[in-house]
Amino acid sequence: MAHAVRMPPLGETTDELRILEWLKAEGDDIALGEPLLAVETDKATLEVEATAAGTLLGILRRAGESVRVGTVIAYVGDQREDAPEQTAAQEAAPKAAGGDVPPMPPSHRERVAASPAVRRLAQDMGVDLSEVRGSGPGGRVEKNDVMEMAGSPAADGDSVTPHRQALARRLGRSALIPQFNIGATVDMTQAAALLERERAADAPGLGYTHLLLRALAVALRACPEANRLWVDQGPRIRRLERTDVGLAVAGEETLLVVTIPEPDRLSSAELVEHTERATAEARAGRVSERHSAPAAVTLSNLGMVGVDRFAPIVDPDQTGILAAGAVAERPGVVGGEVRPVLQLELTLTVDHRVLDGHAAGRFLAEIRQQLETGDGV
Amino acid sequence: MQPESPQPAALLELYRTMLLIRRFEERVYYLFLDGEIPGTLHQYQGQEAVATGVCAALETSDWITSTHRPHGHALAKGVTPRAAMAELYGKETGCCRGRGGSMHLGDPDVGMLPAIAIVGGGNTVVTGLGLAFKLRRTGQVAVCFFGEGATNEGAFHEGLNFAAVQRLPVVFVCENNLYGASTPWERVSLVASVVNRAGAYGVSGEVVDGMDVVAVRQAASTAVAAARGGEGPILLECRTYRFVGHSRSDARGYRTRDEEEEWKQRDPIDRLRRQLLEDGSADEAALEAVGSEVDAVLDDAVDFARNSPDPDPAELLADAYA
Amino acid sequence: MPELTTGARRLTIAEALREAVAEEMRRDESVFLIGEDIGIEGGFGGAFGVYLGLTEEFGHERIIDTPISEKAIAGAAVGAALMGFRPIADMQYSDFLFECMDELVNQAAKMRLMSGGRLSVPLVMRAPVGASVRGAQHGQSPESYFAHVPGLKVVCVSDAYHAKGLLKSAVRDDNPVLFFEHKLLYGTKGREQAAGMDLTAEVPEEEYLFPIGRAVVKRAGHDVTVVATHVSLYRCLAVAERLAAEGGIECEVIDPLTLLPLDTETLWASVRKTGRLVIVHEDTLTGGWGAEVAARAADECLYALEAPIKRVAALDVPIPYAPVLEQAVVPSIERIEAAVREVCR
Repeated sequence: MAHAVRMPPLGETTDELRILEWLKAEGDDIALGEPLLAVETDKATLEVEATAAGTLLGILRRAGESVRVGTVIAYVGDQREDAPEQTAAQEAAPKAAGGDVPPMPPSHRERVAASPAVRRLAQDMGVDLSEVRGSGPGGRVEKNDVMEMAGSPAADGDSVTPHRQALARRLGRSALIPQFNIGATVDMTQAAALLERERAADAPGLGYTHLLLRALAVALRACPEANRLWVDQGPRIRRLERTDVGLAVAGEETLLVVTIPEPDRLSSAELVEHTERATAEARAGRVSERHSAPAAVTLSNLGMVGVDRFAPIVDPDQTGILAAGAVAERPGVVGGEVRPVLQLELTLTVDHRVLDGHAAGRFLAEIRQQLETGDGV
Repeated sequence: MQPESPQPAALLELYRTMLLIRRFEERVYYLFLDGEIPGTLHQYQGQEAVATGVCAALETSDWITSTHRPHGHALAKGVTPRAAMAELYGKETGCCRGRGGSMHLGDPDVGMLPAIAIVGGGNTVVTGLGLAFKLRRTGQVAVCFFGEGATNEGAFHEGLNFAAVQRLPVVFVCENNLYGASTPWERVSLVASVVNRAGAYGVSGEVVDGMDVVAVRQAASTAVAAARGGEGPILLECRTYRFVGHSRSDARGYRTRDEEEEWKQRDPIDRLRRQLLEDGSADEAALEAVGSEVDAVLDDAVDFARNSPDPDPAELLADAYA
Repeated sequence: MPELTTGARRLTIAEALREAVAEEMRRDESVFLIGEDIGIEGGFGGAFGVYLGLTEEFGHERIIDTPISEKAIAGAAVGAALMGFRPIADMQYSDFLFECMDELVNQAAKMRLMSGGRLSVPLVMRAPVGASVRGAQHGQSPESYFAHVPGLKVVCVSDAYHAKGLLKSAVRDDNPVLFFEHKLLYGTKGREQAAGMDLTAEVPEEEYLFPIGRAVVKRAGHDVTVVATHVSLYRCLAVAERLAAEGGIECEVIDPLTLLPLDTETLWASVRKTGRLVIVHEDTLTGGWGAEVAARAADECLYALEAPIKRVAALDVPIPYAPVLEQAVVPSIERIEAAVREVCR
C-alpha cells in the first residue's frame, strides 16, 4: 500500500507551511531519506526527506501552496499502484469569518442591592426583593428587611418556618376530607411475648411500632379495599399494588411521613433497619426515594409520650391513619373474671369517600387479629 | 576496571550501541515527519561516541543526568528501545509513562534520572546524587552530561565548585559540539577550551576526541575510577559535532555545509567499523548481522509503541504529588 | 493531638524548630541539613540561630556548610532527595529563593510527574520571610509564588507548637515542602513580643506531629472570618481583641498554616457560619495567595456571603527601607480593623 507523504510539523509557531519547490517529480525513484521537497516555515527554509522508499506516485499539492501540517501532499509506493483518491477530510478546515460583534443593549432590569445570602433568603421566603425597602448602607437590603417583609416582625412572636407553613397548608386540605374514626382495644399479651422472642433472636431493636407496621401491612393485604387512594381527577379510586405503610416521624420542629416498604415482607431485623434509616432521613430532612413511595395508610404512635388514645387526622394524600396509644396494663375480662391485661387502644381514621363503616371495621379487625394472634413473619 | 586495549567483544558492543543510537534517531525522525511522534526532537546523530564511551565505563548502579538531547544517553545507559520509543509516542508504556516525553527520558532502574531540559539544570542536581553516594559510602558515581553552552550558566559553576569542595564522586562530561543552538562557542567565550574552567575550581580536566569511542571510554574509565576512589570530580571535555540541527525545525544556516562534511568524515561509527575490520576484530558479515539485529529491535520497538495504550487523563492529578 | 497541660514548657519558634530538626535527625539517618553558615564552629547556627548546637551531636557530614551557591544548595537537595535522602535545605532570606527557582520549580516540583510517578523529591526548603527594616531585597514575603506551583507544598508557621509539629511532618512528607517562617517571630534575642503578643507557646515534651494541609482556628467568633499568617496573624488577633472588647464584632481568626494544599473544609465551615471573609497577608496584594482563597470562596460559598470578600495585604511595591514607609506598606492594625469593620457594616 502506498505510503502517504504528509506535511511535517517543522514550524516552530505555525501550523501551515508553504511548499517552495518539489525536488523530485512524479514517477521518480525515491530512496529513504532523500530530500523530496523544500518548504518554508516561520523560521527558515527546510528540506523534507522521504520517510519511505519507492516511486513518487502522486503529487497532490503544488509549489507555492500553503498546506496545514499533517495534510497528505504526495504518495510514495510501488510504481504499479495508483495514487489513492484524495479525500475531503484531508482539506484544512476553513477559518471562521471574523468581524465585529455588535455591543449588547443594556439590561432594562434594575438590580436591587443585596448580598447573595440575602437574595437566597428572599427566594426561600417567597419575598420579592424589589418590594423591600433596604435599611442597609446605600439602601442595601439586609436580612432583617426580608424577614420583616415575610410578615413575622420580631415583636409579635416567633416566625413560622417554611416547614410548618407547608404542614399547615396540608392540614388545611385534610380538613376538607370527610373522615370518621373507629376504635378498638387490643389484647397485647401475645404481641408482647412475640416481641420478647424476636428481640432475643435476631432483632434486639424490635418494638411495638414495628409490630403495628407489620399488622397494618398484613391487614392491607387481607383487605385490598383499604389499600386504595381517592383521586380528584375523574374522580377515580386508585388501587395500590404494594402493601407499603406510612410512618409518622416527629423531628424537633417537624412532622414528616415516611414510607416503610411492605413491612409484611421484611424480616424483623430488616424492619428495624428500614425504620431506623427512614426515621433518620426524615429527621435530616432528606428522605430517599425508597422511603417516599405512596401509601394508603399511615401509623402514628404516641404511646411513648403517655397518650392512651387519640383521633388522628388523615393525610390528604392517603386513605387512613392508625393512631396507637401506650401499651399498658388495664382491667380486662378473661374467662368471666376481671384481670390485668396488657392492652393497646387503636383509633383508625379513614376517608369516608373510599371506605365506609363496615369496610373500615373489617380492616381494623384484621389489624387487631394480627396483633392478638400473629406469630411474626 | 577495564583493560587498556578493549577486547573485540567489547569493541563490537560499543559498535552496536552507537549503531542503535544512530538508527533509533533516524527512525524517530521519519516517524516525526510522518506525524506519528508529536512535539519536537533534539537529536544526537554524530555524538554517539560520547554517550556510548562514557556509559560503557559505568555500572548499572551508577547514575547519569542528561539534557534536552537525551536519546543517546538513554539508550547507552540501558533504557530499552521499547521504553524510549513508547515514551516518544507519549504512551503509558513509556519509561516515564508518557508524562515526560523526548526531553525527559530516564529510568531509575538503569540509573538515569529523567533528563533535565533546563540548560545547566543537571549540574547542581548531580551534586545531590554524588552527595548521597558519598554519605552512604556506596561507591556509586554520578555523571553529568551537558553541552559547552551550559558552562556559561551559574549552575555549572556552582555545581562544579560544590562538588569539588565536597570531593563528590561526580564526573562532569561536557559535549562540546561547537554550537549552543545556533550560537558558535567563540561568540560566547573568550576561552576556547571548556576544560580551562576546571582549573578555576581546583578540578582536573581533560580534552577528549569525542568522535573516537575508544578514546572516550578510556578517558571515562580513568575519571570514573578516580571519582569512585574519592579523589573528587573531574571534567571531561569531549569534542564532538551534531550532524543534524539543534531541533528538527533548524535549517542550520549558521554552519557551513563544508564544516558539516568535514565532521562527517570523522563519523564515529564509520571510524570504529573501519578499525574493527582492519584489526580483524570483526568481519563484514558480523557487522551486517549487528545492523540487522538493531533494525529488528527497532522494528519491534516501533510496533510496541504504536500498539501501546494512551495514558488516561483521569489519572493525571495523582501524579503531581507523592 | 496530645493534651496541653498547664505548666507545660513554653518555647520560642526557634527553639521549637531546633527540637524538631534534632528529633527528626535522630529518628532518621537520611535527614541532613544543607545551607550557608549552619554548622561553622563558633558561627551563627544558621541565619536566626535555629541550628545552634546541633553540630556537636550530628557532626559536619550531616550538617553541610555550603558556598554562597543557592542553586547548588537547592540542586544538591533535589539530587539527594531523589536518591532517598530527606534533606532540610535553607535560604538565609526568602528573597534568595529566586536564585534557585529553577531547581525548585523546574526540578523539585516537576520530577515526580516527569518520571511518571517513579521518583519523588522529599526535601524541605526553609526560609524566613517578612519586612524587618532591611530593605527591598531582604524583606519580601514570596509565599504566593510557590503556592502556585503544582508539585510543591507550602507551609507558613506562626507559633512554636505548630512550627515544631509541621516541620516534623514536612520532613516526613514525600513531596518537596517550602517552609516559611517570619523573621520577627523566631523569638530570639528578646524579640519575644510582636504586636504586643507573646511569641512563646506551649510545646509538649512528647512526640507529636501536626498534619500538613490543616488550618487551625486561633480565636472563635461568629461575625467575620479572618484568615492570616505570620505577623499579620498576630495583628489580626489584636484587632479581634479590641473589637470584642468594644462589643459588636466577634472575629473568628484562622491560621491556614498550609497554603498549598489549602484546608478549605475548615475555612468554608467558618465562612458559612459568619458570612464574611477577610484575608490578611504580608505578601503583595495582586496575585497574592489571598486572591486564590477569595476566588475559591466566591465559587464555593457565594450564597453564604453577606458582604464582599476583602484582602488586606502589602501594597504592590517593593518593601521600602524607611520605617515610616515600611509600616505603610505592610498590613497594619489600622488597615486590618478598617477592613473588618467594612465587611461588618
